[in-house]
Amino acid sequence: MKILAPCSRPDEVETLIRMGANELYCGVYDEEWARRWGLASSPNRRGPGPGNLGSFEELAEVCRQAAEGPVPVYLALNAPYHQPAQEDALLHLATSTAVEAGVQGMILGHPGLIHRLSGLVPEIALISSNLCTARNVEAVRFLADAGARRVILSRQLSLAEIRHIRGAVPEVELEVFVLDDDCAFEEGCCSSAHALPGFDSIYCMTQWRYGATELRVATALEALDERRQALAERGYSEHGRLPLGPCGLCAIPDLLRMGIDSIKIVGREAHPYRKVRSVQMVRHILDRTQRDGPDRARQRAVEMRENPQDCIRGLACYYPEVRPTQ
Amino acid sequence: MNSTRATLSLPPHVRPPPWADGLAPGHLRLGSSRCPGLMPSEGQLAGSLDIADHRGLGVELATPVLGDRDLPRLERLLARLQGRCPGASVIANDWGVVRLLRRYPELQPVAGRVMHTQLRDPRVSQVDGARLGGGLPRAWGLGAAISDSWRQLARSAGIRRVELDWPAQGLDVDAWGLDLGLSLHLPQVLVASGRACIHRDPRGAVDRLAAGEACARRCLVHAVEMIPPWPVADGERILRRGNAEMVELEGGSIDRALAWVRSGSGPDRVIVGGF
Repeated sequence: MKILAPCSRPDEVETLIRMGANELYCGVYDEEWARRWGLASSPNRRGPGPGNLGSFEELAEVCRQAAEGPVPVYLALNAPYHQPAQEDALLHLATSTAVEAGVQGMILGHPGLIHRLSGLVPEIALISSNLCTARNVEAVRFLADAGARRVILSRQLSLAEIRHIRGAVPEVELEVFVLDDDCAFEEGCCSSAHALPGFDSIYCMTQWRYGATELRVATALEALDERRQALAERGYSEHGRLPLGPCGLCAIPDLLRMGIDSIKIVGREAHPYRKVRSVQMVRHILDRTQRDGPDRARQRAVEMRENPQDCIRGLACYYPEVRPTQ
Repeated sequence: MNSTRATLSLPPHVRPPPWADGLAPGHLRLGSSRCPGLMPSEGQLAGSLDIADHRGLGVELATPVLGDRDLPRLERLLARLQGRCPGASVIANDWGVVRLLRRYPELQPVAGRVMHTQLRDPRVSQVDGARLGGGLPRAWGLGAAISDSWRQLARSAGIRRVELDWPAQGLDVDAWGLDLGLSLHLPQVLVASGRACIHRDPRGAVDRLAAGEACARRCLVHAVEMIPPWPVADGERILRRGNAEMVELEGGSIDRALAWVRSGSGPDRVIVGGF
């Protein structure tokens, strides 16, 4: 099982690989894109800034350093949709610039683009983004039929659901989320601008007030607010408590046993400190699982939290079904 | 009144709203694009098909993103629908459902509002286009069906129609002259959905945020107004309904959307109350 880590600067590569990353993913937002389509029309849901490399020269440098690992680099081209001229530009980029830079995989936001590219770049691994919302076996098969070598499963699946899919489609590489940035919404079911320029924050982190409602609903809204607050406190601080974001470390033994191909750390735009510490933690628990067994590994995952109550309450938990109960 | 060819799609017990004057019901709308808990039972489906027969209406069955445990139930509905109502539309919001529909060739797959992605962020009215170096991007008034590759794949899967919302920034209506049928949702714009439902306290959840379990469908009758820290555009309300957040349009936004419908160059179906 590989550890997939985000990367948005060439000087992160060596450290991320040394700490245990087996695969890297990144995005590019270059001046040419901004000149042609403006700042808020992104190739990959993030504008210029910390979430993206600034040029294809930087991408080539990331790939060059990663090749020494040797670690593959995947390029995110996963916007929900692109206008036709943008899509033409992306196809050109995907079949020439990115390949020449040394990219070994591309993360794509809809199966149309996967299908279009599948015959054009057979040497490149096409990866269906979480935006494709693969929540069942039939969806995974559809995306594989379109040409995806790997499918990133929905962020909102339980371990039992993941296990079922793994068993039904052993021929498709599966990637799941294991650490950082989570949401009450499904990414592929969200039409907000996410992290595009022009918006002050991420939509799902809005501090709402509520109109009149019944007590039971108010209680649930309060719980969602509490969860959002937990994500804000733990997920976006540069030097906050560890783990720094929503966490699925306890589930690593289960994911390993299922035969999941890759576990993903989220957050291209995160501070390098968070990325490096996240890779360290995931590597540590994966190694512990293999060396000491699942129970010790889970115990260690909880010990790494400053406050075990975080785990017991499950507020920032990817797989609450395996969290400790006391 | 007008002479538009557009018709309404309505749930069985919803009457045409006053703003839809001149649009006649054409389809009975069942199911949901956002939550498995709102899928009809086989009995409800059969009863609704009787109503559709009686009223001389076509049938649309909306389906959301589904987990594997929901698929057998969907298959039973599809088998019954194909048997009783060949040619009925099935609104897919899950590529897995599109694949499943290959087994039901008499049913017409439609790309629903979740699968057919658009930008529907209610904060758009707050964005200063001048700060973005060229105004608001044209792409914000488009959607997935504008993409050649998306449309090509959809057509190969038998999809001949897509569903749209009318977002806060409006649509670039000149771009939508496609070889696909268009259906427009009014007055709700679906912003986001997931498995976390406000009728289920997530603190007790063991199985992650599984909306739809033991569901009493309270979201059909109860919505919570969400009051954001930014000023909401005139004539709009942001609502939380079950597992989803949506914008409810009023007044001018509905008028602009309907003007497009009535121009005859846009959608030929208007979906009312499709939440």
